[in-house]
Amino acid sequence: MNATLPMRRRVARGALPGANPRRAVLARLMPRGTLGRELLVVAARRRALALKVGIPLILALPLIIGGAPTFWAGMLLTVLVAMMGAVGTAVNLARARQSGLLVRLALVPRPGWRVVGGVVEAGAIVDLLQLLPVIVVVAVAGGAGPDQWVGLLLAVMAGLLTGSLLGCLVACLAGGVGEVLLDVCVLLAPLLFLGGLFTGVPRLGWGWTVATVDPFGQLGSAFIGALGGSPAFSPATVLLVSAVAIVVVLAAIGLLSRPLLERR
Amino acid sequence: MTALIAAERVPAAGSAGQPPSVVVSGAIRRYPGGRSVGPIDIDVRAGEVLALMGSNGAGKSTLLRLLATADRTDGGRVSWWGDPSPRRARRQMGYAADEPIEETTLSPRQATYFWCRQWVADAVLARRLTSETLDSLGLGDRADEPVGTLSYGLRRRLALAQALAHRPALALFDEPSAGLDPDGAAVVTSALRARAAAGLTTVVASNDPEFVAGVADRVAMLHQGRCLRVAPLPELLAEVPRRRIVELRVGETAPGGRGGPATPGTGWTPARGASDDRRPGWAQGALTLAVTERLASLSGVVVLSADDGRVVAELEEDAALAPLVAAADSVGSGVRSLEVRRPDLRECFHALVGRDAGGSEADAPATLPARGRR
Repeated sequence: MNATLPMRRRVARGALPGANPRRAVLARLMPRGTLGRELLVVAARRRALALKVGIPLILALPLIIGGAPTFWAGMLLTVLVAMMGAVGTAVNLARARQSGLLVRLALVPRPGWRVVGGVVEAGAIVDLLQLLPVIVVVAVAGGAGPDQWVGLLLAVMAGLLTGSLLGCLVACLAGGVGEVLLDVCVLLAPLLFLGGLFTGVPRLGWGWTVATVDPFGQLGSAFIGALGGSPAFSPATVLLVSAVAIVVVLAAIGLLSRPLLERR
Repeated sequence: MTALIAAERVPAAGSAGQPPSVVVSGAIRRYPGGRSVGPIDIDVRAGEVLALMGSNGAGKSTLLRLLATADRTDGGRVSWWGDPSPRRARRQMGYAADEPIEETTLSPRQATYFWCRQWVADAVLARRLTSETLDSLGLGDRADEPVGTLSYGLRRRLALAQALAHRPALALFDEPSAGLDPDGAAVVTSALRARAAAGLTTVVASNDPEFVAGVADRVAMLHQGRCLRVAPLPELLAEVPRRRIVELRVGETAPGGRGGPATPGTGWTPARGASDDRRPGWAQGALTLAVTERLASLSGVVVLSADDGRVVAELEEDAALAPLVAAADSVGSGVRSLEVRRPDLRECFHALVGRDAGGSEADAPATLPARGRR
C-alpha cells in the first residue's frame, strides 16, 4: 500500500506522463503551427478551461432563468463576448511579447499573418467553445429559429474576432500586460456605444449606418432576437454583416501582424 | 516536396576561400536616452564558432540581436551570405535568447518539434531531427515530460535544442552556458563543436571564459559598444604578458590560537574558536584592503582585484610565491587557500580594455590600487 503512494503522487503532478492516459494522449500530439500549439496549451490546462466555460454560463443563466429584459440581457452578453475576445487576445500577445516568444516567432521564415493569425484563431476558437453552452441555452430558451441560430453563431464569431483585432491593436500600443485592460476598455466602449447597445439602434441617419456595420451592433441584435425580443436587424442582415466583418477583420489582423511582431 | 533543411542549403564546411556567413559594416544601434552600440565592423566566417565577450552593457546581446535580425540597425549594414535581406537570412538561422521561454505544459519534444516545423516542411524529417537534437543535448530521457518539471539548466538546453533542431546554417546563442552544470556545459560545447565540424556557423555571446575557451575558434572582445579585437583564442592569449595569476583567500582564524588574529586597523578580534563566517562584513573588508595594500607594495606584483576575502594578483612568471604568501600572512590574515593559474580570457580582456577604464565587470573593487605599482 505504502509502496504505491509515491507513484500516485508523481502521476498527480504530471511527472510520469506515460502513466496518465490523458496526458499521454496530449503528449503524442505534435504542433505544426501556432494554432496547434495554442490549442495544445489550452487543452493541457484543464482547470482554466473549465473556468472559462463556467464563467459565461454563471453570468448568462440568471439572466435567462430570471427573465431579464431581452435588451439588457443582449447588451450584457454582447459586452461579455467583446471583452473575452479583446482582453484574451491582448493579454495573450502582451505576455508573449514580455516573455520573448513574439521575438522568436518574428524570426521564423513564415508570413507574419500566419504566425499571429494562428494565435488569434486559437483564441477565437477557444472563446467560441467556451461560449457555446451560453449560445445553446440562449437559443433554446428564446425558441430561436434556424436562421437565428446560424446568425447568432456567426455574429459571435465576428464579435470575438473584432475583439481580437482590438486586442492586437492594444498589444501593439500597450507597454505591458498591466495596461492592456485599460486600453481595451478605451477602444471597446465607443464601439459598443456606436453599435446601439446602450441606447438602442437609431432609426435613421449616420447612427443607424454605423450601428449596422458595427459587428457588436449586429451581435447585440442577434442576442436580442435569439432571446425572443425585437431585434434591430433581421437575421439575414446579421448573417451578411457578420460574414463580411469576419473577412475584413481577418485581413486587418493580417496587416497588423508584422508591426506586432516587429515592435520591440 | 521533401523539405530541404538549412544545413543542406549552405556550402560545405568553412574552406579558406569561402565567403563569410555574416558581414557587419559600421552597424549602429541607438537606444532611447542616448546610449548606443557601434559602429561595429565584424565578419563571421563560415563554419566557425565566434564568441562575443565583454562586460555587461558592452553590446554583446545587441550585436547578437542584430545578427539574428531581431533588431534593426540605425546605421551601417549587416549582410548574411552576401545578402542584406533579413527575411531571406531567417530561412537559415536559429536564435536562442538568454532566457529560456517555453510553455510549461508542452513537452520538450513538442516544443522542439514546433520550432523545427517552422523551417522543416517534412513532418517525418522534423520528428527525426527533433529526436536527434534532444538526444544530442542530453534531453532524450525527459523528452516527453512537461517542460514545467525540468530544472533551469535543462530548460536552457531545451532552448538550445529549439534553436538547433532545424540544423540552421547560422546559430546565435546568448549566454548558452548560463545556468548549466559542468556536464551540461560539456554537452553544449560538444554540440557546438559538432556543428563547426559540419561546417555550420555559430555565434555565442558569453562571459564564461572556460566555456568560450572550450568552444570558440575566434573571440571578439567588445567594450562600451565597440569591438576592440577579433582574433583566434591562442593569438589573444599569446598577447597577454607571460605572467601568473595568483588567487588568495584570506581571513581564516588561526587554528589553535587564543582567538583569531586582530583585523588590522579595526581593533576587532574574533572570539576563540569563532569561525571566519562570524567576522562582520566591514571587518572582512578591512582585512581584504589591508592584504591588498600589503601585496601592492611588493615589487613585481599587481593586484588585479580584491573582494570579500578574495585577492587576485598578477606576478612575473619566474617570481617566487613565498614572499607573496608571507606578505599576506604578515597582516594577520591567515591565507586560507592559494590558486595559481595562467592568464586566461579574463586577463586578456582586462589587458585590452585597461583595468581603470571600467572594463572589469566583476572583479574591480572601489579600493583597487592603481595598475603598475610594481
